[in-house]
Amino acid sequence: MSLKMKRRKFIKSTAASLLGLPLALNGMNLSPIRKSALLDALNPDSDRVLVLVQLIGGNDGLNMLVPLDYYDTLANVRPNVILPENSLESIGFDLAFHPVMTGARSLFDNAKMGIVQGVAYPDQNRSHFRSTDIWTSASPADQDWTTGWLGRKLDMEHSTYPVDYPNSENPDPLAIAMGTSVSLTCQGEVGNYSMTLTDPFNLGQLAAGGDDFIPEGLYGDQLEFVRLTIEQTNAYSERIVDIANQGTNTVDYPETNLAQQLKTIALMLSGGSQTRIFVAKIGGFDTHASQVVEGDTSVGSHAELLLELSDAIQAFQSDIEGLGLSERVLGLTFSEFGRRIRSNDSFGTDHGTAAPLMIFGDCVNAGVFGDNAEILPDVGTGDGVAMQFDFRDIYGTILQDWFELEESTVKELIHEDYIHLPILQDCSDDPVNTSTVLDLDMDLSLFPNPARDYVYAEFRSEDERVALTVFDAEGRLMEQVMDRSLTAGSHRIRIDISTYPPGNYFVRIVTKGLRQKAKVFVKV
Amino acid sequence: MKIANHKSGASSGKTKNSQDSNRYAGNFSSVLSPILNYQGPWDNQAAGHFLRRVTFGSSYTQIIEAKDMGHDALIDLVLADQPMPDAPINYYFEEDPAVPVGTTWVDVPLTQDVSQGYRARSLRGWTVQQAIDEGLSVRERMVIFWHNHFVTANIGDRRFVYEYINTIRENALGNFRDLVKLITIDPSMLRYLNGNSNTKNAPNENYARELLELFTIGKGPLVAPGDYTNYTEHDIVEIAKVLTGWRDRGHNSSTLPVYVEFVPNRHDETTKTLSHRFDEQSIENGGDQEYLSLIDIIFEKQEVARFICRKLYRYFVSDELTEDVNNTFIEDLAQVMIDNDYEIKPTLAALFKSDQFMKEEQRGVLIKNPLDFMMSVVKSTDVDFLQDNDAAYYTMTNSLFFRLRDAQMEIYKHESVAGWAAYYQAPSFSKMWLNAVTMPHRMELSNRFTINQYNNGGNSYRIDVLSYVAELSNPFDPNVLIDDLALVFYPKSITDGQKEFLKSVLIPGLPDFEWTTEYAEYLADPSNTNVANSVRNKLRNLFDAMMNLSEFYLF
Repeated sequence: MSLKMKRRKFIKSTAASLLGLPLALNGMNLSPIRKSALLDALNPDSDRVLVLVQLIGGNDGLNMLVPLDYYDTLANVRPNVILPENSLESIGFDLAFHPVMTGARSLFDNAKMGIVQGVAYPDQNRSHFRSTDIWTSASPADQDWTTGWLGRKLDMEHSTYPVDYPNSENPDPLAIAMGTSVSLTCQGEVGNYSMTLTDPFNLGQLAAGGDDFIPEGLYGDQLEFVRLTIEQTNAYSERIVDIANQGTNTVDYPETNLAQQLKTIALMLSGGSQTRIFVAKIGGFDTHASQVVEGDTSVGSHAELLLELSDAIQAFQSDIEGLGLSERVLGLTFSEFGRRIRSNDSFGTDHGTAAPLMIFGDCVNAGVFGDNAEILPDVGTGDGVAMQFDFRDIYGTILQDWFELEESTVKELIHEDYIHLPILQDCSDDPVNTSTVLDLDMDLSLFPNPARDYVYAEFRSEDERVALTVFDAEGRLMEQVMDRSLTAGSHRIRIDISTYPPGNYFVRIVTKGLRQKAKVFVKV
Repeated sequence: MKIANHKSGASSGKTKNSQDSNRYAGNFSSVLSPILNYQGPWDNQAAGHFLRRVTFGSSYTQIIEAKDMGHDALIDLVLADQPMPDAPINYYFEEDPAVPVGTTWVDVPLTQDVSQGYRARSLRGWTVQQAIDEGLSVRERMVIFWHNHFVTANIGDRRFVYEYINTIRENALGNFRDLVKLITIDPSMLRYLNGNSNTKNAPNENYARELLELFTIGKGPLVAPGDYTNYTEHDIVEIAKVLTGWRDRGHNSSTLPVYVEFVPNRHDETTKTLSHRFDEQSIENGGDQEYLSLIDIIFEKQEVARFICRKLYRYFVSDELTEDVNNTFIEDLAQVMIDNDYEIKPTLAALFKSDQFMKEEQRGVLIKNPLDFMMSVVKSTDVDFLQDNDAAYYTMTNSLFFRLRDAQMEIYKHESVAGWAAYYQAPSFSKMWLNAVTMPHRMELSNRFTINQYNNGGNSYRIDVLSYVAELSNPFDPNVLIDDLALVFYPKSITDGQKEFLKSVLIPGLPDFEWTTEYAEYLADPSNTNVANSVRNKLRNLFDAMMNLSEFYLF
């Protein structure tokens, strides 16, 4: 690259008028940060790193993790895409990975992976667009939030950014998005915190000059943005090249795009990068057609994607372990939605609702959270997998346990009804192979079933607040039946369903201690 | 039933477009609109703003020409019908007997066991050529707009892609409703959004959903389960049924031409009933004409006009679309579009004539997309691309196509059906184009055409700075020279400090008259290579510095 090697001082004063606006989250109680009890054994000085792996397009969770207890029903409702039964090897819990996912399987078997079933949000939106915005902003489905969930965290901690960044305390980008576009998860009030990165060895210095005045208005805002982009690119680039040159990898990665992204992340970490948020991406999950090859459902575009994903995270985890960094790094996959339970005639699946999500690393509470998706023989064409866990509770738990924010702060950043989930654990604990499934059972039963005008929900609770909500089979919120404190014991709640259209519905119970469960009833 | 020419379907659905187009007899600037017309002076700055936003890479000469022409005449000119370009040709590949070098491949089936890589290269180069070759017309900018609106991507057989972009170009300034009709059964679109596997036994909703959400009416807030204000999930189900039965033929075929067909026994013949959002209208079985009725029903909703006008606003005017602008300007512009039966020309005329588009505070508020940036580097400076030499021109433009890809704007290969994020992603919008990866690509590109050179296919390309400045109003005066170039390169006047900086690049540490002397010396004897080189190098430094200013990234 033949760019002029010219360093300039970072813009300071001119930015103040634009960037000095009070941020919405200023004034929040930031310090001292209380360490959550769960992670007391961790080194308090450790710089914990979160690696997000975004599966773009909507991942078919039922083809990634097949619920073996519903195999026969699944074979009936998605006959042209279902994997052959003899190709499926149980990992326990009546679940089997797609047979190409030997890498993910080995992580799971070594207690380095947690699988959270049925992750979605109430009132599923089936637009890629909108649902990606919801997952990246962690906004409720009926609200438009323009900041990302990690962007809000960074806004709180770096209220003057981007003025005077990088600096001695923060020499590296606060987040790095692999590829050529910034990540919406890192969108803050003023700017996006993620620096894009493709090749860390090939970053030159950009020329600039003659900028002495920032006019008022939108023109001035845009001008300021261009200048800051140039300045920051230059300032961060120098560090990144140094770090990449000091870094190393300990394993061979596959030549796939995702694996190479993760390889660069490991390289940067081993070279001493202080960036704590990385976002890697893999596209192609929008498998409306030809997700499997006609005649052989074990191959096809989805199998290729899962292979790339599984091999990449396995290589990454083993590299991170080889580098001695594995107690600092946590990985999390996400996708904007799962796909429908029924397949279509194009050997594909359409936009659905919930799907499993994978958390990996040394510090996960390994195992399976939640029940297998319930597949009914008469599942409707539009039905997706029912939601069991709100993705915002997973984000919130990561902010609380991994990034050590106060629970009250997490509630402000994510949502006020945030529920902590036991998905992480002390890294130094001996890994327990196939840890126990969370006991979610509140003895919820529904009767009569099928039901017509009303149905009773019967369950047990402690002295606690209990919220009971009904969703339809497409994950749309029908109503919140109740949300109040109950005394310990058995309860029976009458739910009026006389106005519901015929179909399958799910009742979900949530209490503070995460106890929740989905059941099904059919109205005829 | 086969339809030999699939376009017959849509043209039979036309209503009164031809009359509407004729109504203005090419005089679109006379279109009636309640919108406030531009109030400011029609000066060089105004003409420059207009051209930068409406065309690609306008030069100094063009800006002066536009200024002399006047605002109204310019509007009519940029909206005038343009001939269709020649089809892309095989410019080098000698191993396909069916397509000799120098002839087009767009209607020739593939030859077995012969790579079609030459077609991909040809199409890529040709695509960039359209922007370079465009004169004072808005058509090419609208082609990019519609390509980003009706995204199709990753189509293998380039005959499909050509047909798709040809349909868009033919209708880029036509009628929005007709364009939706054509695109709905476009062979590439049938593949991209799975319309070709949408059958009565297994409806595939992919296209139906995007037809509403992205292509026509847009999605409103979720106000009830499955109800997105403008349409419901139920409408998607019903519309998918309406669209059953169509499929593309000929993809990657060595025998078949590209066409679409309607297969009656794949079509759902039941009566479809839309939700209350479409007044519970029913659509009876109409076979291969049914989709036309459907699109007519959708276009009865004024929200369709508002939706596309908002998108045009973000494309042509500003990232910032306030509630107030939405309630007044967009409402008025949508009304112009409806009054003109969804004709695009009168709508654009009203937009281009408006104060909201032209006024001073709107200038420079958009960040250039990579194509705009590239064209402002190479086209506003009249880089000679050896257009008469097919092989050279195609090779070079093919290379430029990959520069667009590196800058995150690959044509025919959007990452998402929603289009480039810069056109929809709040709150950043056009800021999405610039980041630590794309910024160096842009700077390197301008640097190559100024100080360095762009080598390709045995030729070298760069700005002929000496010829260029000869066209300016007074190249002898370094101050005027810089002012004239600033008119071309920047959306607004720059500060005195910046002018001093630029002058220090042109003539470091020397008084103005030294430039005047040197330039006169060069003109007196252009064959004196020593003097010419010296003046040329100084100008190259100036062009480079001007393109490195942040102001150059805005328009």
